Amino acid sequence: MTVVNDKIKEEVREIVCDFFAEECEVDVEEITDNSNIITDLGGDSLMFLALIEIFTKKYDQEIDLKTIGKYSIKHPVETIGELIDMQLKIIEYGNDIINFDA
Amino acid sequence: MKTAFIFPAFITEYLGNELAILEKLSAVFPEYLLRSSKATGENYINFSVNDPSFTEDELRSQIISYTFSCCLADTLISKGLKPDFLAGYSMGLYAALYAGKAIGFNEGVRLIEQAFLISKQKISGTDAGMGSVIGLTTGEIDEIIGKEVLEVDIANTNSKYAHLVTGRMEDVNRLLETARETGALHVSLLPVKTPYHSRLLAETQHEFRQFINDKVTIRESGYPVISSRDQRQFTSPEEISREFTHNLFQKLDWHTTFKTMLLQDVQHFVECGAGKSLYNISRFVPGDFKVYPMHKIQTLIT
Repeated sequence: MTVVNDKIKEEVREIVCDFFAEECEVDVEEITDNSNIITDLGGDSLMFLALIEIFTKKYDQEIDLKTIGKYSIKHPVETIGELIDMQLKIIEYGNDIINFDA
Repeated sequence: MKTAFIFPAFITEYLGNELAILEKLSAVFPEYLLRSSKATGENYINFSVNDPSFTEDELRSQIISYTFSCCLADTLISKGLKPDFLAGYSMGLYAALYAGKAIGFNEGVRLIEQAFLISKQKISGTDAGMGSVIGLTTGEIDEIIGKEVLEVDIANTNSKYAHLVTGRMEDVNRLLETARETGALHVSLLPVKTPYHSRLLAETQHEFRQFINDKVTIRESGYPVISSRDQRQFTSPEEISREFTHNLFQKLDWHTTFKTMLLQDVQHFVECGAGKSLYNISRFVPGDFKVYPMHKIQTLIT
């Protein structure tokens, strides 16, 4: 289990926002926690997969994608804020995210 | 450093500004729409990316995608950008072979129409479709297909964790449902009623081959083509004819096709078509390369 401190939180936010700004060709300033990934930014599920790969490499994690898939059934991600929140939980709990029900 | 022209299948998501981009690159797109209209006997001249009669009709959307791709490839070649390789994603094969001058524009249109009609006849009375599964491997999808005894095939492997599936609609739906329960990150049904690259279409090959033999003149391709089925490199009319027939009912592996071109020293991939679907898929291929979707192509020819 990794302790998620303010530095990691800031890092994750920056990577997520920069990623969507580049992929969706929007100004990073336009992206907020409430931005809907699909309807506001024109993003897609492949981008979600790409981001997971970026973070697993960055934080040297071995994540079974299926645990994230199962977690996302109960905790669907629609906005940038929800995506950042999920990513922080993946970093913190790894494959144990599946047992995280709050 | 080499360049490949890659051709998307029918477009499900337009950027919205394709016509303006083409207009900037070259003013000839209306002429291509006119050619499609004449070849099909239908009106393509009033095409708009916002008109569902073009974008949601299965056959018309394929013709439009082909028209975009042919116009773009001709424009780029006329401006001096020549490919070292060609590769077509699914129905993008026809535009790739047009770019190689192996077939003429009208022949490409006729091939698309005929492939569509024969496929529809062969599955007449069968409710079929295609879906997308993101987050599972081919092994995990095959395991579901085996366990549930589904008449579904993996149609295309876009990356290790992104696949298209094809087959009987009821079974495709069942697969998508089970895949999500198993832990797929995302599943969706595609707006397609023909099970392309499915065993359900295996019987199309004789009739389609006969049509090609009787009605289509195939020449040697001016540029080598990489097969998205088995990654062979080919140029001859015989191999092209075989690729046309087998492309309809056999599984494709775009991920490996892309990696094969990287091994051939390709570093620039030009997506000859509307949208940016091939650019999106290429994110998952490691390596030093760049994919230019339509709206980035201008940087290559100035």
